[in-house]
Amino acid sequence: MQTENRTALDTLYMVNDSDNTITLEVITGPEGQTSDTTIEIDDATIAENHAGNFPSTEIGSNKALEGKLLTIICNIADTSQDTNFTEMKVLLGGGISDHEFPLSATVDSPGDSVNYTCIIKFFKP
Amino acid sequence: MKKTVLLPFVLLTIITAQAQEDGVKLDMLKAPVSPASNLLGIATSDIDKPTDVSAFMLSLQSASNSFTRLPSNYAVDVAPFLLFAKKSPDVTTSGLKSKKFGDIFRQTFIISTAIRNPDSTETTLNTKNTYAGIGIKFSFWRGKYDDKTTDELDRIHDLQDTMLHYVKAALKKWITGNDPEAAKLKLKRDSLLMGRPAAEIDKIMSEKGGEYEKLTKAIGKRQQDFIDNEVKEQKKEIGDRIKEIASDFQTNRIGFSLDFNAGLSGEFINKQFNNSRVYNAGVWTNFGYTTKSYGAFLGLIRYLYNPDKVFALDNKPTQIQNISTLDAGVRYAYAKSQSKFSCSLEGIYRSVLSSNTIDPSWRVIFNADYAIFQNQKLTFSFGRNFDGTITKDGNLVAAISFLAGFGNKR
Repeated sequence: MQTENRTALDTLYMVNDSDNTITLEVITGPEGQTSDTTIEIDDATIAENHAGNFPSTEIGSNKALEGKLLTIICNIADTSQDTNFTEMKVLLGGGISDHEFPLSATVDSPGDSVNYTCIIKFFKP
Repeated sequence: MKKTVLLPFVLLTIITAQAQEDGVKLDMLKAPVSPASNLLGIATSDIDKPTDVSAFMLSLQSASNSFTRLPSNYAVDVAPFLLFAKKSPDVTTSGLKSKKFGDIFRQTFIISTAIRNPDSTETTLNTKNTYAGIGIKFSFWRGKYDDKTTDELDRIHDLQDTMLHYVKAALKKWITGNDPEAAKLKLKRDSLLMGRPAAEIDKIMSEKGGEYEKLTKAIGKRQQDFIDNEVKEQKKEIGDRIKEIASDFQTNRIGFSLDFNAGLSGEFINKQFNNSRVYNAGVWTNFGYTTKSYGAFLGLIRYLYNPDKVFALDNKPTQIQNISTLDAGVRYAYAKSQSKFSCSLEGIYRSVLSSNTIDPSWRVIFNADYAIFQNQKLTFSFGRNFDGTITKDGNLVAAISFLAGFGNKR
């Protein structure tokens, strides 16, 4: 099933004024693809040139993250012999509700690579 | 080089001129791709392998006529940790590098299920009955990436680092640039949420196909176009260099490996679920050691209950019920990285555990092949079959078979 390529995201993530921690996880794939990810919150680097999935990590409290901008950039190279499909999912938890933000693209030919960019603003309603 | 390789083939052809010309089944030591489907004789191409929950539900829906009846002929392999676990295993080339048992297990564990209602063309299964199977497979250990694999991944990663450097600069430019159209869309999107309680906002944001999602997609599209345009030249230059490595990339491993597979199938008499019996079952264990220079040594121990063929009878369909067989085998495969020549020697000892009337038997097969072009190989095999006959395979120049592959050259 061919889906539309979607490689950029600009969205909001709701937080409250509690001290509960927010967790971030970035899943890339599918099996056999090669990914490289850099994550920043405002100008602070959370991960730089991280190979593979970024495991679930606490990135700060609801209160501390309010108004900040999370940026995720990722390059996925099609190294799988089974598929030309690539995907990246951003999972955020600990805010008002948990959310999964999926992006995906199918490359034109084996070995091609895709750039993913995400901007997520933490906002308090 | 070709002369050196072909000479032994020709000599062996003369020696085996009197040998029986049978098709030789190679690589009998391979564990099944899907244990349950294997037990019920379902082809690998007919097995569904969903990669996410929605694909799994779609597969089930299609097989069960939108959940209105039990699937009649259906085989599915599910990787539960990939599909359902809260903490998804890393199955990128980076994650697959892990040598920890926990990671390997979560990445390789598969539950295979199959159901079959044979039709009138079926010769081995009873058409009046329904058959269902379940199986599992996973790896305990696997070798580490070889030097070539590691080197190629490192080179791809370095190029990706450079690419991300440009993407990062482009994203900063996009954020600070305040594209007027994107700003307008964001204002419109924010106005959907203004002054509303958190629960309502959450509902608006989660609504599939809703206004918030449409606006978010439109903003994302502008961002995507901007980034693509900003890094167009770098994407071409660096992307091409990544492609040079990635398009032919293959993961090769060296070191110890150990896999486990098991399956059980049931026969439901007259399609009644309260009248059933075990149809067949199997447990396979593969183990081996792959070296950098001297090829791979592989072993297999396999127990089968009621196999469709009793191997000591040389692949004739069995008429004996409730029979158990135990196979033990070893295989040595020689193939240097990037080499056109490869060969293997395979030996299997098979015994029937539950019958004194069938003697144990053994088979040894030597196989060699030489790649002339991509997808085109000269192959040769020679050995002793279970019934004691000498077998060889080949029909071009007596013993050498020429296999031409069709399709693209990848």
